[in-house]
Amino acid sequence: MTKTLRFGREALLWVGGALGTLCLLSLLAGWMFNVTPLVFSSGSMSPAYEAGALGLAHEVPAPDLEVGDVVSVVNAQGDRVTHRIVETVPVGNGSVLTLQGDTNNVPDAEAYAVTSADRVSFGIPYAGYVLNAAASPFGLLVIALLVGASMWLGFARRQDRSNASGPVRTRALVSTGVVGVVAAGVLLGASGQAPWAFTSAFWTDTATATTTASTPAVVDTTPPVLSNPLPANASSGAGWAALSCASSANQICVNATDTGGSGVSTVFVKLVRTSTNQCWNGTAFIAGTGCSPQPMVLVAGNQYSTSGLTAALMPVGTYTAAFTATDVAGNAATPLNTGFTITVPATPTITSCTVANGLTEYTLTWTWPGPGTADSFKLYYGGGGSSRPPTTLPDVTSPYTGVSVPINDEAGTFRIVAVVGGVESALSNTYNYSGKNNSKVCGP
Amino acid sequence: MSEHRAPRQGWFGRGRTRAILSLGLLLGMGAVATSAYWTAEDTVTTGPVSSGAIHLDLATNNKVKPEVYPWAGLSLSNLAPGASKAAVLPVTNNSSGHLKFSYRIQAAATGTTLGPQLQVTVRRGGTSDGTACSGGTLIGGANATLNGFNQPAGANLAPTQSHNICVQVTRTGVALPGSSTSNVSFTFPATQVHS
Repeated sequence: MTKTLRFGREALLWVGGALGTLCLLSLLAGWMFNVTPLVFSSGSMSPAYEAGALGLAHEVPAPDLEVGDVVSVVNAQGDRVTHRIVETVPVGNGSVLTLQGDTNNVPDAEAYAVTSADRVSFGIPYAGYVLNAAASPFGLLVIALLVGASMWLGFARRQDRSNASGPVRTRALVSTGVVGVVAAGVLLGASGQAPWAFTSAFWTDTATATTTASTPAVVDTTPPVLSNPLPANASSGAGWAALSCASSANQICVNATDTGGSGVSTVFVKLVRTSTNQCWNGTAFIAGTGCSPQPMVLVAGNQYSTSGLTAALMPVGTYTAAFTATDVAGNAATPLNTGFTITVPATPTITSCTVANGLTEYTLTWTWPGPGTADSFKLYYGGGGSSRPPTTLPDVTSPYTGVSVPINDEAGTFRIVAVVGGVESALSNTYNYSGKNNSKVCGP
Repeated sequence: MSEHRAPRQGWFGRGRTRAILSLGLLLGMGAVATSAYWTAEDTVTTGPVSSGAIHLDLATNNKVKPEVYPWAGLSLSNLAPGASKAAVLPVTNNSSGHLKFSYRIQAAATGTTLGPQLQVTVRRGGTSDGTACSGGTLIGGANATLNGFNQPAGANLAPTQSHNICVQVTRTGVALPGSSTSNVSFTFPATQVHS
């Protein structure tokens, strides 16, 4: 044998022996220490474990698994998945693991319920490529040739030296051994006891398309409706106070409602005193009817009222109020026109006048037909041609009585007016008083 | 058995130990190959080791992760009761490297007014006339509730391949307040497939 051939034989035997030993040791280690070699078949765990890396995993029970561990589990499709734990929820004696590849932007869709998992402790870059190549058909062929050559070189008859053993027995032994070993390997693989595993450290990606849905905007074509004006249309009353809106003293009120959906926007009223041909400009009554409509403000609910009107601004007379309103969509309500009259209060009637001789007080009684309640009554009295300022008689509940103390020893007349809303009625009938000391008299 | 009692140097030098040890290769590779190729169980599979990056792209070739695509093509504004709108969205495998993936089609609609009244019909490979999808393969059921829709696309995408996903959104006949809105999203999670 030449030197070259001898060297080649030695090299082949050494390589075959070393690789075979490595295989046996890793099988042994796998069984003894529960170590599983894993080939990373994608880069989703990069850069910790690149594609083609060989990871070494050791089976640990579920309670020992922690977030951040890289574990290998089997998914619902039966594929092995090796990703990092991002969440672990203990369930019974196991855990439900949520895994995510380091380069994946979303966790795996599947949550893995496990009682134990192979935790990857370290990886050998590129070693997985070697293992993958070895397990390919071509790789298997190369290995088979390598082993065959080793066996032949180790056991075949050597021409340069005598062989002490019987060649037939050796050949039978060797053939049986080779067949036995191959059978054992096949059995190992078929039984699933081989500790090697190729792992799908698969990639995920996600993309989202977004848009916005909406329903058509409601088109409000329904105008607001005006109703329930106060003072009511065609009403009349003695004095403004008796006639004006109860919920907002001395003001004009109206209800405005909108069912179209957009809501009432503005309510206006144009107030004209027709008896004097004047209109209200917001602060005072001015001549003519050219005032702009005045805005009304919301009182409560659907009721709107004027602001700024007073009893003094609203003397006896006839008035018209023209209400207008719009909703937010711009629809105008059908205008509402009302008219009302502020009248002079009814005239009271003096029914008796008594005086006790020797005293100074005259006691008057009178009647008043209403309607309602007068704000007050005033007593006009005077004598000797002189006129004195009236005094207020505060009794506003029937039967009405009042006391007057005219200047002593003066003769004169009593007359009473009713005051409603600042408006005085006509003078009542007259009662005359005269006399002094014990001869005082008072009568119609 | 006289060779066992032979001088150690001679025994080893003849390479029989190494030859026997090399049988370990057969044992190991036999085990790996058997489980890889001949067992029905999928727990041990060899596959191509793939490097690269997965990219599922919508209408664009942005390769952005994660991609959010404002889908102007599907305008759902002013949806009248019973009305529907449809548009086609190309879903492309723009992965670098030989990465095949499967993907799902998920849909969500926000809100409690308009959102629950939206229905979706998805047709892979379908065409749109602007209001309805036709042709292709129906994914899930027709007029399924949009919010929570979650169906597998039913077909894998190899690199550079794309699917035209026709999405039809229909508003039910239920009367709703005006100007109700709902943010609608269609999500396409892809998972690498080994084959």
